[in-house]
Amino acid sequence: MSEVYEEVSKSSRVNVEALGGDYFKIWIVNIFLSIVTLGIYSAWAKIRTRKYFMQTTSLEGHHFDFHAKPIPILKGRVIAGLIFLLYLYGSFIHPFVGLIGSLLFFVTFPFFVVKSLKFNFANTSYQNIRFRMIGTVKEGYQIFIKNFGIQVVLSLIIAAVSVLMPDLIIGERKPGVQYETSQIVFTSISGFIVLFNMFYSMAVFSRFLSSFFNFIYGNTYYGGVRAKFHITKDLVSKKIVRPYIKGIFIALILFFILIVVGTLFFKSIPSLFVGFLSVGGTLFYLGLIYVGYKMTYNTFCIVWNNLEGDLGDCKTELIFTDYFKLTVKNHLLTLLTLGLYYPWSKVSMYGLKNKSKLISSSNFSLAVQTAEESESALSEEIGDAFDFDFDIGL
Amino acid sequence: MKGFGSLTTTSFTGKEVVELKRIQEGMLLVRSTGSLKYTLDEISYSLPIGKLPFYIELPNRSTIEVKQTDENKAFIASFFSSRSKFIQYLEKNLKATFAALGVIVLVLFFLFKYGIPAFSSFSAERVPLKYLDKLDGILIEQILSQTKESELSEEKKEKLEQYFRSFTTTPFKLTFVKGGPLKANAFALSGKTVIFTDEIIELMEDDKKLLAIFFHEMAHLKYRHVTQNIINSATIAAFSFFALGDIQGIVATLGTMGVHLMSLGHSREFEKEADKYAVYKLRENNISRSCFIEGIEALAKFYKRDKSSRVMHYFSSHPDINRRVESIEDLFQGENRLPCNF
Repeated sequence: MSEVYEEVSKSSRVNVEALGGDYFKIWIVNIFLSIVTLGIYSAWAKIRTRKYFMQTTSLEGHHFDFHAKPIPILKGRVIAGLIFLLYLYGSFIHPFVGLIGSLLFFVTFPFFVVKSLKFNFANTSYQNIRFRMIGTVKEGYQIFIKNFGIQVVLSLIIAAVSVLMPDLIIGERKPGVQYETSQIVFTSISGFIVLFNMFYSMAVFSRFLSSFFNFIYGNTYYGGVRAKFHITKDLVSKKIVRPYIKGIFIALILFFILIVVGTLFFKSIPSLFVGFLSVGGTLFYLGLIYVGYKMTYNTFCIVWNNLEGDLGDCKTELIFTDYFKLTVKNHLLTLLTLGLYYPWSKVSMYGLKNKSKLISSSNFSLAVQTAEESESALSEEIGDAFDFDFDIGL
Repeated sequence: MKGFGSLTTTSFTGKEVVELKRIQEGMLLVRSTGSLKYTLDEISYSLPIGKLPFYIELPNRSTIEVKQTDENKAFIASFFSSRSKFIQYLEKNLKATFAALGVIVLVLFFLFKYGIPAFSSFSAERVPLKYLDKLDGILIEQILSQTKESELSEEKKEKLEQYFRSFTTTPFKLTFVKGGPLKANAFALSGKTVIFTDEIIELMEDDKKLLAIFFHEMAHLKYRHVTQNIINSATIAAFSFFALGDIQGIVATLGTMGVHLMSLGHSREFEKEADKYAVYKLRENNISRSCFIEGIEALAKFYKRDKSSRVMHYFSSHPDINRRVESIEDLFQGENRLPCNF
């Protein structure tokens, strides 16, 4: 018991001084200026928001900061936004444009993610020393290709065949004409690929998450000191993926039982039947929300309880019931206030998560000594931003 | 102009109070050990966020924290343009924040209510018809994959088409389908295609009622309502992505819900516009507007939507039946309404 007490007493707790009321003003001004400038200010808005949260977060009396310049964010935003819109609406222009949009989106996605991570890390500092993520775009592609390459290629092949050979799609019918064998084969293959992609993605999700987190946090530097982070696929599967799938499965079974009970006992009274099904549907939806919260919570804990290094170890004391209660309260109040509670919601959740973090034995002099050598490598990371919200996790 | 701040360096953990002076070339830092001059290129700073301190980064990774007090006010202000000061004023002043909130609500309301629909209408009119026909081809494939072949005889189909063509010179392509999720329905696509289901033909009984429905669908083609809807959605998505980037999570969901409700509102406006076109076309051809009214009443009864609900009205893409009939009657100002089969 005394050992535990001693260990905790050596640790420093992250402090957050952000206030909902203050952030509300910043948030409103950000939206106002973004609208007035037709979106141009949104890059500045992003920086001011992040700066506000970083500058109000401190450890041992020293605050964090965010140093990004808006122009790279604005450029990246335009490029990423155009590709995203092409992906969403390209097929309305022409199926081929839609196909190009999908191809561009999938091909560039890992690039955007890695570049955004590097940008956000490189622009975050603590005690005037920058963080850095040295993982390369190539490594990012390797992770995505290894886990989702097959699914993406198969989906794109099906999409390409549909665009180039529309006759294969079952649909256009003429009286007395039977489906062609090629149409039946193509439809069967497409269906099989959809199912395969779904189950294969579920099967590799633990591997993907573990390698992705190892890629981010195992490649993180503070000054010249590298963080130590390694989680296994089995740990992710046990703590994140399996509970999530199990939760969805239980919610589905309960919903199915409700439908059966409703059909057996209340079908003769339509209003009661509809009411019963509505309650069942709502409970099912709430069940899904619950497992979603649990998954987010577990992910947060796994990351922060496994992050260590020469600077000290990290730990979180976040309790699920606190997290769950606050999430529900935030969502309800945001709904009731038609969204105006959002700044308080964001600040309270940020505070709860960060105040739960403990960092032990902060050996910052080591980071200072090695900071010089890491500075020269920062320029590349600072250069690009594609506005994906992958950041340092503070 | 001078101010006071706390200097933090990486070499020690404490903070040192320093005096700062804004000079023409940049800034003068006065420490207990001596003074140092910095040009503006050597230091880095950004506009303070809300009430948070003003931070100046020095070249050696040291930072000076300058609190936003009255005595530091002029010193901090000397680093920024009036545009930046305006942002600061908005962020610190509650009244200004609420004024900005009011402007946001007004701008969004007018943008979604009038701006984006006007832009969609303007753009839709300028899309070449050949592209819309291609889009019809894509949409029709999706529709046909969810429905069955029409069981109407070729003779009946041809007769109906001839009948419709005798009332209009506008080109159209008539397609018949049966069943699936469409049930008793008729709708127009984006180019020249109008689709009727077997069920609606059976439900209408009278060809004049079908003609009334046909005129309604032709209005959707004439005003390019489907194209307008697509442009509306794409514009809203682009606007949300670029201008409302700071809205996240549930607010985004709420925003989407609001936008969806507004889209439904636009859709109801399109329906009213199509109703108006249909009844005027009927009058032009000496057919009673009752044919249209009885037709949509039969559809409402079929879908059990013949009772008016004020709340559900806002969640529907079509105005409720009573409002539709009222709007039509308003157009005719008490003019006698003859039965459809007159």
